[in-house]
Amino acid sequence: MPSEAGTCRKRKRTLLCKDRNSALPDDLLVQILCLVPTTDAVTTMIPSKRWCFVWTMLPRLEYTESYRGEQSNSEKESISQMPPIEKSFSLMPLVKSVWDFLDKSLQLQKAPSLERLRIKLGHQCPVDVDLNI
Amino acid sequence: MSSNMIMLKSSDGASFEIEEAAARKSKIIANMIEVECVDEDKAIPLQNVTGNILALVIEYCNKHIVDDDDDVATEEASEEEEEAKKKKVDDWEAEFMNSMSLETMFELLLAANYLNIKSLIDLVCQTIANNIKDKTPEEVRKIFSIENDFTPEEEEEIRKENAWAFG
Repeated sequence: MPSEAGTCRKRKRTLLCKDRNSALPDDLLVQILCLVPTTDAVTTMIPSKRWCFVWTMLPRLEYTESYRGEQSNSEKESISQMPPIEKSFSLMPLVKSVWDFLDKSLQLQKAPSLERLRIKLGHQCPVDVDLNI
Repeated sequence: MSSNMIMLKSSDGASFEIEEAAARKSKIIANMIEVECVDEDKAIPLQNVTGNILALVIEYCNKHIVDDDDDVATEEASEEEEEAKKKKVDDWEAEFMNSMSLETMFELLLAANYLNIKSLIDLVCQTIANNIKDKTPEEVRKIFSIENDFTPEEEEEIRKENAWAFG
């Protein structure tokens, strides 16, 4: 599938850098996005064409699955104490599994090398996920 | 500690005197000193850094060179003392970053990158990242004054094709 991120990258060189953080080189933008939860990093494809592809270069990805349907009070408490990177996944509506997120986002990855891929499994996980690695 | 002083000159012509030990926080300047490119009577021109940003860089370097000296002097410091010292540095860094606008942060990041001061790059990146966490694309756009160069149709298409990302 021709990815939007790929399309954006082709356009990159012709774009004028009008917003202030677009003046930052790619490696610094990637370093910044490495420090936010992967879910937040992925949504940065929306603000502008310049940003569209940056998240696909992230060398470190973290995915956490949490089954929200049967959260007990203690689980809710443990979520509230999680670091933000895990919390954001735990609070995602679990209509769609994080595995869908994982599957789709990995297909768009363009990082020359993946330094770390961390997947934290929840109560339910499919056995037929193809990571395409 | 060496008390040699070095002169730095910003792109807009402002001159700053800085201790060599503090200036060595910048790998670029440290390399210049190593290969004896630095003339004592002549300021090092920094074409990509304005005076107001260079002042911040120097404030950071001065603060951290003092802390590094402390490390040497108190090798036998207890764990508590170490923690207290770390907290003091963290508090200083938090206040330092709080004192500036996002626009200044971006300029400071570019300067730190140009001068190759890794710990300052890390600090600014972390602070900017904290501003992106838990934000919607619209909020990110607003916070960072990003100009939306997608047409409404293009944005709609991206959102549709990547609906998995916006659960």
